[in-house]
Amino acid sequence: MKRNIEKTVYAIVFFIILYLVLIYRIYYLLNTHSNSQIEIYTIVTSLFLLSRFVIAVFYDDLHKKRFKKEKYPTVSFVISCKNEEDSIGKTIDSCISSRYPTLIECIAINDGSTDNTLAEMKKAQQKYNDKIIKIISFQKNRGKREAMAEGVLKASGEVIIFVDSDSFVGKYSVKHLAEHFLSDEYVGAVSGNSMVENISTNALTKMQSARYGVSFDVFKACESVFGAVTCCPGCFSGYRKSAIMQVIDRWRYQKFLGTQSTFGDDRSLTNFVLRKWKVVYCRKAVATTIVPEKYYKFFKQQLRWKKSWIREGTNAGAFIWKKHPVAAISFYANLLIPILGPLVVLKIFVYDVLISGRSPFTFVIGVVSMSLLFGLYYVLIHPNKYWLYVTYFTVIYTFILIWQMPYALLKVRDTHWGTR
Amino acid sequence: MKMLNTTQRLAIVLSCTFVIGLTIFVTYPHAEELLESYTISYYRYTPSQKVLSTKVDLSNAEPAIAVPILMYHGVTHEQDNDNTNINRFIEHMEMLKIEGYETITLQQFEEFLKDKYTLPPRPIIITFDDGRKDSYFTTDDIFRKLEFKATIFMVSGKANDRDKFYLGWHDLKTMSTSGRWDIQAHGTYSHDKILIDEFGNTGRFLTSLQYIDQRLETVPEYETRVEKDYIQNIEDFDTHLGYKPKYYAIPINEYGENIVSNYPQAGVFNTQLMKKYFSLAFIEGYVYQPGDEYSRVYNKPIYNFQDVNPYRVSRIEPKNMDAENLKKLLESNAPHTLPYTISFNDIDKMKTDAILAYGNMDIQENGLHLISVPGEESAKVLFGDENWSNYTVTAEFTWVSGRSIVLLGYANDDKNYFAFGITDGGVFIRETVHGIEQDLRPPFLGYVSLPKDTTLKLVFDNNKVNAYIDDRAMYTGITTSFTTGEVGFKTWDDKGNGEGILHSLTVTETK
Repeated sequence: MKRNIEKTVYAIVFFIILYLVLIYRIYYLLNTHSNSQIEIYTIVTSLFLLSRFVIAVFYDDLHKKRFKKEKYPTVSFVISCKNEEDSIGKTIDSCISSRYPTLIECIAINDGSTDNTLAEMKKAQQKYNDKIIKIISFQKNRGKREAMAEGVLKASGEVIIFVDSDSFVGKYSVKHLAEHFLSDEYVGAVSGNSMVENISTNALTKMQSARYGVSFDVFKACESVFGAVTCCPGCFSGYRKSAIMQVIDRWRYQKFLGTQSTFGDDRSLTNFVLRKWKVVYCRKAVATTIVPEKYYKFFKQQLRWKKSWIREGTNAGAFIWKKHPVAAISFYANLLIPILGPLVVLKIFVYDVLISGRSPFTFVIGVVSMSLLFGLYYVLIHPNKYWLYVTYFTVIYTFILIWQMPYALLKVRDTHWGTR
Repeated sequence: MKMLNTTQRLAIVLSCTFVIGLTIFVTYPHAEELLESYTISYYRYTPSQKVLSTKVDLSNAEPAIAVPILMYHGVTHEQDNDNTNINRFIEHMEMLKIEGYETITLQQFEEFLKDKYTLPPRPIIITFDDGRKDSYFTTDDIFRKLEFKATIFMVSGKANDRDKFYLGWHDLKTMSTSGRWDIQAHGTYSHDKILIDEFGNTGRFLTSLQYIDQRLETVPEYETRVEKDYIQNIEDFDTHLGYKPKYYAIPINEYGENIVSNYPQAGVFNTQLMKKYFSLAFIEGYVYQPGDEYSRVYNKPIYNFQDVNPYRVSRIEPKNMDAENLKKLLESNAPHTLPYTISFNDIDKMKTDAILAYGNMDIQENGLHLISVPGEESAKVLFGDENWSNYTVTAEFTWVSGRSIVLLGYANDDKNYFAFGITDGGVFIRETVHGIEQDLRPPFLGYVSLPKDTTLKLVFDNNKVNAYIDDRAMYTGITTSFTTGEVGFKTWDDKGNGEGILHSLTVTETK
């Protein structure tokens, strides 16, 4: 009942802000003879963002709940891990204790840890048994991609579930993922719904929880409507083993601009699979993950993500037009908008202020309003008391993260992971 | 959105879109008007204690015979060279209120010119040029609370183009129905710069031949284009405000005398159009320059009398002039009726009324000390009204130093005046016409007094003059070229040491 009242209030506020944003945009469109390139950029961005609200309405967690127990495919968890002695045990526990009708196994890969990770893995093996927990150990660190690949090769299940070593899987989440494969034979991969484990630690984690929520339940849901999800995050997603095997070598030895592609392994694999298969999102398949609690770690992570995003953007850009046209246009818009972002921000906050003395106030209000709309839309789907932090994310994005984009473009060949 | 199928969801999306779309469509005009005014906020004015409690008593005053017109551009919170700072503007308006000035409309002014309207004792017209947002939003409440009316001359092209800096038709409509504002014409694209040659040089829209299609436009093309601007201007008003403007503020003050243009006849042609389409046209006759309290930049009158050229009605642009100085400017140029006296008994009136043309002036207890400035040979002070005629002027003074001391009568400007004076050589009577000085009678030689208290008197009877020193007639029956003009007092010394003290000056009607 309380949730319903909440939802009504949020919905009313949503429509009021939407109305104000639209009427302001229309007024400005009709009445300003300013720089037309910026105008076009703003129109495209607004249309892209507003279209997310419409498309996300059509998202459905498309899987029939009831299948006969025997039908469920066998599942192999692939968990690669480097120096996560504190969480690996719990991660394995959460995987094994999934309520799943058929066989589960867990492949744990120790990627050259220098702490007690291997010991923890062995403990888990003891706890369950070595038929269920298999360990692969690298003396020296070889990178996530290698670890994942080795894990897949050793796995015996029909479905591979990738889980990060600091993620915790919900009891029925694996069942939900598997049901997608059963419902639609064209689905090659399913993204889980990553939520933030350490949500209440500080403003940074609260902000990330709001950001993840919008990113998954609005943006990814839109991609899923067309079966064109471009990133199944490594922290929790499922693939048909057969789909991976088709592309495993190309993925494993992927090169970009002459250097080995080490990060963005999840996005990359998704794109390889997406060429031939549908990739969807499963809202119900929840897993929680630990997010950076310190700003410098957060920014390093974001920079890493941007590099892989740039690389994968160009790769996927090559074939995405073959998929649904709306998905393709959305993809290209989603690629160009952040890349041109820094130029727009420079113009509005520096050039306009200095040359024409124009206050960036309206731009800031516009950006904050849009972020409020997204926050509200998300919280209508899923309650989250920190939804308002989405505006904090937008501020950090506009002033800091957006500048990582040109930096990432310059440094895209640098494969160093930074602080993990 | 769990249980609904695709069609149902589509229905929801479409109906939401429809409802939002409809709401936007219905409420857009109201939103537009809110947003149009958001760029500049409406200034709320609180009258000062002084303006609420002080007011000059004009109950016995006679109706005025001429009108001064003020002109402003923007009234802003900043300080710049073209606009008026709001605090200064409030000082101007409060000064006008305290001094008993009443605003009249241009309609009433037009009627006055036709002798169909009686002016209040201290009339004033307040105008704004160009139609900027900051001419209205910052000033309206001031006019409301002081019960003043104003006129704004609108460049209609700016409203058509929805230029954010200028008032839109919606604002203008609100203003014209408020009862405080009269909207009149200032051209359509009159302020635009146009190319006048192939090198990128520019001139103004109404007063230059345009360089277009790789050639200079012909005169007929120019005339068509310019006339279209006038016609369009009037049409815009008719369409949006429901009336045709009768009054025109000449854009950029370009009305023929010194226009820099590639077409010398531009001023003449524009004046023809003004006469065709409007009843009155306004120029800028005086622009305040900082540090320059009294000089008339364009040599045009401060006050407009009934015989003013209706297409050259003069206005004053005070900009950021001190309110006290504006007050003096208006008072000292106000038409004075006879009899008129200036004396050391009323130092304040001496200070207010004296118009120092050049030199130094020091008003002390015994009168007005007029002193030449080193480097300049003469000093001149004027009093009264250019429209005075048939008067007797008597000046009591002390000649302190210098080679001559002069009483001026029928003085119109620096090049046209009548002079009667004493020099170290004798007494002279002469007039300067168009800058050429000429003795009207041979000078009396040998009559020298230094220093001495003397009275000089001139009796003007139409264009005939009698001149007296200490009531002794020196010249009689002199014919002068002038019939009207102010009175004045002047000293001269070729070494710049001239000084005279004017104790009193009286002007009466010649019987």
